[in-house]
Amino acid sequence: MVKNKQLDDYLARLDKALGSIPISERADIITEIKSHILEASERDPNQSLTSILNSLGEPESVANKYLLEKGLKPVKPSRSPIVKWLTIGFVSTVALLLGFILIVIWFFTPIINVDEKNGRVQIMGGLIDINAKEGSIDIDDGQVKIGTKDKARVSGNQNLEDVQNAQVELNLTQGSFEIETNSRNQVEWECQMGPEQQEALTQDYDGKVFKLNFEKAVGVTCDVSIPKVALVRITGTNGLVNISEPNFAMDVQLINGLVNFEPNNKLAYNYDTSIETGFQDQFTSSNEPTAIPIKIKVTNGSISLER
Amino acid sequence: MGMLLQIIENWKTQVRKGYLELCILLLIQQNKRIYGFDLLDQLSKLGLPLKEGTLYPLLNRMTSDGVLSASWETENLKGHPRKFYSLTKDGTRLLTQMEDEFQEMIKIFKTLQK
Repeated sequence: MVKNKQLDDYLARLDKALGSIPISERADIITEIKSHILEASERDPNQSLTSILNSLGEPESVANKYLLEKGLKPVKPSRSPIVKWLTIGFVSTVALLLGFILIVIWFFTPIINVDEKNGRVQIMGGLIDINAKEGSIDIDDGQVKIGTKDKARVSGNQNLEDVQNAQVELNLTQGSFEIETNSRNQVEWECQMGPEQQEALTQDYDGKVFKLNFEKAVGVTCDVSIPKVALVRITGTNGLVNISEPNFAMDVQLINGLVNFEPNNKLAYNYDTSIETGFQDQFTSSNEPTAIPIKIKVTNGSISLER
Repeated sequence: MGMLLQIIENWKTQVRKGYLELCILLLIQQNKRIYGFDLLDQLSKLGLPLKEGTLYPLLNRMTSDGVLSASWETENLKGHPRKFYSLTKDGTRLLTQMEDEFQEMIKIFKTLQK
């Protein structure tokens, strides 16, 4: 019967518009309104269902009156499904766009913050904080200051045979190093290190390659002076390395680091510098055949040129 | 003239609101128990026409407030269930206070009219 469908539709709309009211109460309200409609129909059979419903009013406004009496927020009458769907479409698009922007920002935000002026590199939002000025490297689980407290000056040296063909290797886990040249035939180092670090420092010399291993001596500050060897290799995890006027080829590889290179103005260099995340200065290579190869590779940090 | 009519209608709506609740409670008290449709009928005959869309939510609220108590009754097997309302104890107390307040208002009104 058409009559019933019209009634059912009306009551369904009313139920929906009563939304925030608990279900048992909603059922009660619907039953009462239905009862009223049926009663009106019985009392005056000539009155059409339409006019009865019109007298009641739109189900949404009836529902609103219930909500208002209860002090609840009334529901806005939905004009038509089109408006509703346009709104949904619009809101979803905006949400998608925002989501996309957030992803882009997250993706491109550098994990590393390099502050060259102050000699500071922060990695992972400060999880690793390298401060060249203070000479400290903070790692999340505590500060490892490369400072002078509780440390003694420890020096050592190693005589090198056949200097010009010799190689020097420096391995470090964490430390600050000053690399200089000397005209004596030996590698000399002077470090600030505590007793544990002294014990942890190892050396190895096979007549050709001299290895100075600071890997277990974490958090040292050293001056290393090297004669005119063929190659100086420095490998490390976290390091601050200052290279001063070298006359030897170099291969520096650091994961997190600040490398400062001061060229000797009388010498020609051929640079191969690379940095993954961070900053580097412009290094101009020389074309001369005698140019000294300088390779510096830093994953996170900075490579700076000192004039 | 049109604007005056609007002002009067606005005022009537305002005044009636509280007054209507008083009348509804009085009617329910008189009838002891009454269901919505009947109440609409009697209000209409009194010259207090109230839209059904307004009455039912009002009755619903007064029931929630504990002023009225409601029960469902079906006249016979074929009929539809009807929700009957009656005053609760609190409702009766409330009605008495409302009547007193209203009497006060009439007194002041009569004084002002002199």
